[in-house]
Amino acid sequence: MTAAAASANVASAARPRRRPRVRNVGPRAFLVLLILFLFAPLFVVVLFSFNATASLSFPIPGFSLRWYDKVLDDREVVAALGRSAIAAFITGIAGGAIGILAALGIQGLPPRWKGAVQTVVLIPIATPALLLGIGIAIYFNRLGIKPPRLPMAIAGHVLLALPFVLLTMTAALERFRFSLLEAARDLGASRARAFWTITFPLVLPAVLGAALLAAAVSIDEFIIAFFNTGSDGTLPLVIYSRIRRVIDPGLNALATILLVATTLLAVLAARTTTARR
Amino acid sequence: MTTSSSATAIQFEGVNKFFGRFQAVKDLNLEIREGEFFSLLGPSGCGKTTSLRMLAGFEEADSGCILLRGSDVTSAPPNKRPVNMVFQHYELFPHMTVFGNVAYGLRLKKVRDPELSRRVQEMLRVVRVDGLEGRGARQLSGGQQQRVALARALVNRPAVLLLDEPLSALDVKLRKQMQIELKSIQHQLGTTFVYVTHDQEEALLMSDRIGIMNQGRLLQVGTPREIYGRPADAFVADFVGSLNAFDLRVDEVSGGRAVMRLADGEHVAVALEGAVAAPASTIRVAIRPERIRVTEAQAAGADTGAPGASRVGGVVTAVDYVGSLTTYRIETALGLIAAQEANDTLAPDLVVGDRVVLSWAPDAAFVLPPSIVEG
Repeated sequence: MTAAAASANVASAARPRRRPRVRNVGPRAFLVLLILFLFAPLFVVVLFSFNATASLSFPIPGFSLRWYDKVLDDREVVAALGRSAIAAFITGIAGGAIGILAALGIQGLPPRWKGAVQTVVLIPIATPALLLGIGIAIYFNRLGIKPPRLPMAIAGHVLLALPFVLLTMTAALERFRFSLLEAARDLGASRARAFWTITFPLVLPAVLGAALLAAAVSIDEFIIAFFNTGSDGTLPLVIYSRIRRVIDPGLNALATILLVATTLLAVLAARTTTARR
Repeated sequence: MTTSSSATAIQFEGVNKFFGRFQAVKDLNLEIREGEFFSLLGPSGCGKTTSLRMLAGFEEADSGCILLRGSDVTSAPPNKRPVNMVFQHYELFPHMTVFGNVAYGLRLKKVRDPELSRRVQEMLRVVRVDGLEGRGARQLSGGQQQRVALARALVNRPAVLLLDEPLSALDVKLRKQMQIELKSIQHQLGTTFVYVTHDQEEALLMSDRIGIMNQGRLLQVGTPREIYGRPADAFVADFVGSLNAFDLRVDEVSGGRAVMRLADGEHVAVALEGAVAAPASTIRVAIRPERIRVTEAQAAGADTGAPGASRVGGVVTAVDYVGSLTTYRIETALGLIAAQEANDTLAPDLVVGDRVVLSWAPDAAFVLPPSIVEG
């Protein structure tokens, strides 16, 4: 909707302005209200993270970074932050690697298989995370794998991220000219050589984008982590356990950190995938 | 640098290729000589591109074999063949510069600087894009891409250069210019070119020899003059250039010619050249529009033509003026005949409805063999 509005702006800027642009007022007001409605809670959280006092009253008496200070001094929080970062990093790497290989594999399938496989790999999107979380816990339990359990949660994150990763990669490969590989082969490159010199550099931005997307999925994932980790929980779990005990203004700071990290990853992902072309 | 014309560069021996149930190439037997500019000409789906791709190694023949300078390459992978290809859509590597593209093959062959740079620069000069080596492949015009693709292939000094409709993406003017240039580059380097095209004019202009294909079969191989002047069958005749075809009732056979007598002392003759024509039978005869002379009926006078020359009266039904040429459509006893006159100072000034006399030399018309392939 914003893109449409933007292109409408461009179009009207090109034409000489004859009439004031009033006819879009209704839809635009609606859009602004919608965005306010969606982002107001986030705004409140961010605002209170800079609150000078512990009281959750409005307007806030003053600004300070004391809650950030407090949270980052908290060993439990810092440890959880570290585990979240590890989980996000591994999910990103694994997601990116599996993504490109799977997408290339799917691309080479005969057309009638292609559609079927593409549907199957999207199933995790439609599966309740609850089911995935419990399922993974039971599965690893049956295999006899007990703690450390963070890797189990990470495996779940990779599974959860896979559909997003594959959607990104498949779209990138649709645009890739496979005939370029024929040209490379014709000039003397082996299959492997053609992949590393032509395919890989050309789809690298998409792979990076997919990896960042996978990391973003991991960093704020709760349910799978909840069922598969305990004392080695990720950041969302620590936030959750704190909320149950006492209302801690430090949580606002923590949530803001999480928000900034996720947003940054998503923006970076969008930028790398659309950087070329 | 021309090699002796007797040496064979490529041999197809009984090559067949299927895609599922569809047979793309049927029993292809063909020899292409060293240093020759050879074109495979035919409509889309005739098997010409498949044949080229089998030469490059992108498709494998289902039966038969392909020899390259005497060695069997039927199942060799594309990177193990001394041939290079210029693709229809160029397929330049978009993440590399012009230099990177042209150097790609040499680097794989472990050619190092300074020889690498020297050979790349030299080839860029040959195709006249020197100075663009630092440019990204995406920042080139269509014509420049074409030249870089040519350099990228030729720099490897292939035994044979394969070209798959390389000019089809260019606009008409640039295409004409590149045709001439390609021909001169081929002449300069002496490399064997195998050129696939569906454009008959292009094939006639550029080639030493042409092979015409239709529905997977090679119908005729010959020089442009042979293909145009004496097409092997009705398909070739119709595909290469335009053509008038009509039935000739054989009234008499004399001196190796079949003659049909028409009213008013007019007659049509065709040299049989080995074809069999029994009196009172009917044979199919063809003549190119530009071989027919059109004269106004009053100016034509009496028949003084050489023995075997033909003369038919008719009425102009259409005049198509295209600048250098005019095509007249004339209703005659033989049916509607198209005749082409150059618009020089001697050109007749005719309008629709004028009565004219068509005449042509003894060797202008030829017997049209029935199609080798149906359809």
